[in-house]
Amino acid sequence: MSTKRQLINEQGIRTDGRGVDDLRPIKITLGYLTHANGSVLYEQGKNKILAAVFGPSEVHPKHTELPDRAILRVRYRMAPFSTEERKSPAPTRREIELSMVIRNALESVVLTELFPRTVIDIFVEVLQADAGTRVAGVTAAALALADAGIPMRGITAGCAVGKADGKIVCDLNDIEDKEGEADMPVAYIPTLNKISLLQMDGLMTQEEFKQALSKAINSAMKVYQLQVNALKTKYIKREEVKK
Amino acid sequence: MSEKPIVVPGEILTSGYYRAGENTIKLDNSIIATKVGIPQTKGNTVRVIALKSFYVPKIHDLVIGIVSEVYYNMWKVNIFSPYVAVLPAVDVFGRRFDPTKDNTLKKMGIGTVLKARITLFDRTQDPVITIRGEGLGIIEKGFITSVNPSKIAKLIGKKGSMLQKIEQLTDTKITVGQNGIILIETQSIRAKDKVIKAIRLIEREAHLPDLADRVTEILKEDGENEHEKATDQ
Repeated sequence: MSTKRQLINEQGIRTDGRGVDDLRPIKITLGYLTHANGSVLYEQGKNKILAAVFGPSEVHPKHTELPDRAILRVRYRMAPFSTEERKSPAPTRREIELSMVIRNALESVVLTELFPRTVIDIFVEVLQADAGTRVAGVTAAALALADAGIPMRGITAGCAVGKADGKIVCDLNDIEDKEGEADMPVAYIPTLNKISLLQMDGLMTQEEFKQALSKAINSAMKVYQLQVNALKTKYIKREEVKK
Repeated sequence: MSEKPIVVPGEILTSGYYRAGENTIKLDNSIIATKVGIPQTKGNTVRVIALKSFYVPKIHDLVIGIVSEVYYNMWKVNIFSPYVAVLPAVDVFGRRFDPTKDNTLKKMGIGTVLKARITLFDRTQDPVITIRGEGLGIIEKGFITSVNPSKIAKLIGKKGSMLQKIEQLTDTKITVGQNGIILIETQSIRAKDKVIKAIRLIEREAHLPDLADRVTEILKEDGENEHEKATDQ
């Protein structure tokens, strides 16, 4: 058996040079696509995620429409070139499940009851994956929805936390995700103070879980601030361009 | 005029005895924004003027649509909203409409562009439109372009001032559908291009101050360029 790699050194520095509470650098490009009603290119470290929103529009097939609210249709896909080894382009069980997970995380913020008998299509395309794509997908999809002008109760921000070398770390990278002891993606709605997604893989004690959850919420708040800034500056920037 | 603050969905606008207007909801005694936009308070009502939106039909709205499906007793019209509009054959043929004699397909095929008004809509059923009325009916000539429905108020301007200005400076006739579809009636392609350029400017910079001046500037600037081009030739 190979020896276990050290994920955090004595100074508390992680494999990519971050501290335990640091997030990877985040870059948000709103309105990245011209044809979609709302879109965003969300980059978090090596993660590159493209989210696009269409609708609300007429539902096809008709029997899937709901008389009292709009349906959300989320498609989460990983590009064949997104991982280290080529991924088969066929939708996997994991992708189908994550599509559902992202939809559930967003359904609580979108005011679907305003547009009965319609559908809102959300596409989350992972162009490059480096752990934490489901929460990055939720974050990107929430931005694309706001960019499309779809009424929402708030903006969902997501961040994963986990346990590596016995310490709780924020925003895991690929090595920590694979070799760490636990991984917990959390999506949080700061304005409503509610959690809309919480999953966990691995083992943590109750104390560790509490610490991890509070760290996840803090990290999500940092992500949320970046989301708000991106949405606000999209419109202010125009003037700078003109000058 | 100073720059107005922009709010994002979920942002608390105010709390207490206020009413939630357009693009806002009331949650636990607070009024929160539901879209990215500029907040506005009028009396005790708080609303958000969205910076990007889509068209939701309203009764009496003038819309420009395209026939997308033809049935024996009605047409389905794409009005660029979440709901497809219905134009009943009775509205076009009159009350003596007889499906065995009158042919809806011969009257209007797929792709026919219409200027219509919404007569019925309540979200539980698709909007019903009419083409009976002054200025309504089939559009036979002109150019069509579109603008985000949230920018229509700015495009029309106070009491139609902005639209009048564009019409005067380009010598065109412009009809703005509330659904964001715009009909430009002119013989000149150059004039049409100028109008589209002005519309794009409004779409981009509607929320920034001194919009009217910038529109005038862009329309006049183009005129000068045209003159230059003409002298060059």
